[in-house]
Amino acid sequence: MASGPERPLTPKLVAQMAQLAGLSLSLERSAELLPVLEGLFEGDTKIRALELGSTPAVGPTWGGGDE
Amino acid sequence: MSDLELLTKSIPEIGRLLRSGQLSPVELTTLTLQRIEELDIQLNTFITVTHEKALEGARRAERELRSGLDRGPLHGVPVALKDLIDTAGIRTTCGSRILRDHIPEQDAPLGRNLEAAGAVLVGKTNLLEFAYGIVHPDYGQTNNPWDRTRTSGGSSGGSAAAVAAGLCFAAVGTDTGGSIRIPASYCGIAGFKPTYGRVSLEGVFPLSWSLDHAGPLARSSEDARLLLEGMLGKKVPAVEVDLKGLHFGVIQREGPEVEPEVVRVFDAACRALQSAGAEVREVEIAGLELADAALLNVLFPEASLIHQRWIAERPEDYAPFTRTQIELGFTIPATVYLRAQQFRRYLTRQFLQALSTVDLLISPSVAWVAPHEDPAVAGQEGSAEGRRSAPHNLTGLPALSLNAGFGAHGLPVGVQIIGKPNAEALVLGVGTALERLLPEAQKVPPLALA
Repeated sequence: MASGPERPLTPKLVAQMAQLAGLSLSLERSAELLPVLEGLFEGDTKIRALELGSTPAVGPTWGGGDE
Repeated sequence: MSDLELLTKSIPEIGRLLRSGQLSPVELTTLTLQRIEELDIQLNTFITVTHEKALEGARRAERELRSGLDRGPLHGVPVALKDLIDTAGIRTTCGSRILRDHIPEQDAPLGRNLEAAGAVLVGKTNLLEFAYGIVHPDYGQTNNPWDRTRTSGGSSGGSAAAVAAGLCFAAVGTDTGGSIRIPASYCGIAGFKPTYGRVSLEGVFPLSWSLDHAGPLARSSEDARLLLEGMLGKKVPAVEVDLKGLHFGVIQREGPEVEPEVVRVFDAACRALQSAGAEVREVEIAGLELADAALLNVLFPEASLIHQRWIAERPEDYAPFTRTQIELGFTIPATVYLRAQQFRRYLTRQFLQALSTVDLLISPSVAWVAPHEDPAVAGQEGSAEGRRSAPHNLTGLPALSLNAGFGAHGLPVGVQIIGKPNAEALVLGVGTALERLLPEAQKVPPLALA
């Protein structure tokens, strides 16, 4: 099971990622997450291609301007 | 006048009857509770019906109105709250097994404000588990008043169905990717997501802090405005909108997932605007096709953080796919989350650029009419369902769904109006103006007429 050359995903890797974030997952449950996770990473790859540079990641989305 | 006619009147109309003495708040609340008793077994709209609190509130409203104390348009009017909004002494389950016995000590400020406005709380409405896109089997699906074999939508489906069926005059919902506007569209009523941050979320159980909004569901845009005023505890001006000369930008009219009947109703609404003198033209929003991915890459990690203790200690208590969605959030790297957050600012710039060339944006609210079941958030169908609502959770712009007509099965079809930040009054005023142009769309479901 792989998501493509850029970010190969396996149940073991998914379980390790969850473990690092604080959740223990069996390999069986990790495997169930793979198809959705691959889709999320594909979306992220497209967002990354926008090269958003130093665009802020926090604060009001419109910079606080009013109507 | 029949009980049903009374229970489906607008808030200003019912207010006139209450103030003239033709109807008392206790009579109105008693009728409402009776209707809940009769219909809720079919619809499954309420998790908790607050009989005693409702009658106590109605008696107080009656005393106050008779003594000349008038708290405003909601005084003596039965309303409901989605069951993830804290109510002191009344259980607040979030549609979950985990919180099935949770009784908050304090009211959420938006509920306190509604009580101060004299609204009468008749109950806590059903929702998808923790507002996360899945029905928990302990509570079951809220059925659609237009066709009980179909869902009323999620996650504020109980609020939407209760309003549509005349079980209350308005209800509060929450919206993280469309959870007010999708059920409003499926149930044929108005549902409004205000600008991000406009309504306090204190005492509202979070799904995703940076995407969550609370807002009103009601049988018209004007009633939604009145409920929003009550939630805020301050005025939202009623704007009498002249559509002539207003410029509307059409977005997301088409797509492989859009049902032809939705396009037909949407186009008819656009023609009605044009006939009233508005200008309607297509506009482009760069990057909009990436909104699905950005939403999930923000939503999943935020939601998982909120549930981190329970998912470790009692995962079996979640509905199976809620559990899966929470687990997913633990596998998304911080950089992916932050890129999605950056994208939100980029997307908002694109929207504001479009809104510098037109006054408002307009789109179908959902690509289809009410399905038989709610699709999960994490999946192709879930993304397609929220494709027209979720972008406005990412940007935080105010967005209103109102009923614009009916599709092939006689099911409601919603149209969405989107405005600039803090343009609540204008968006709701346009909603009222459009509803006047579409009188055949402003009707109650056959269930309510039975």
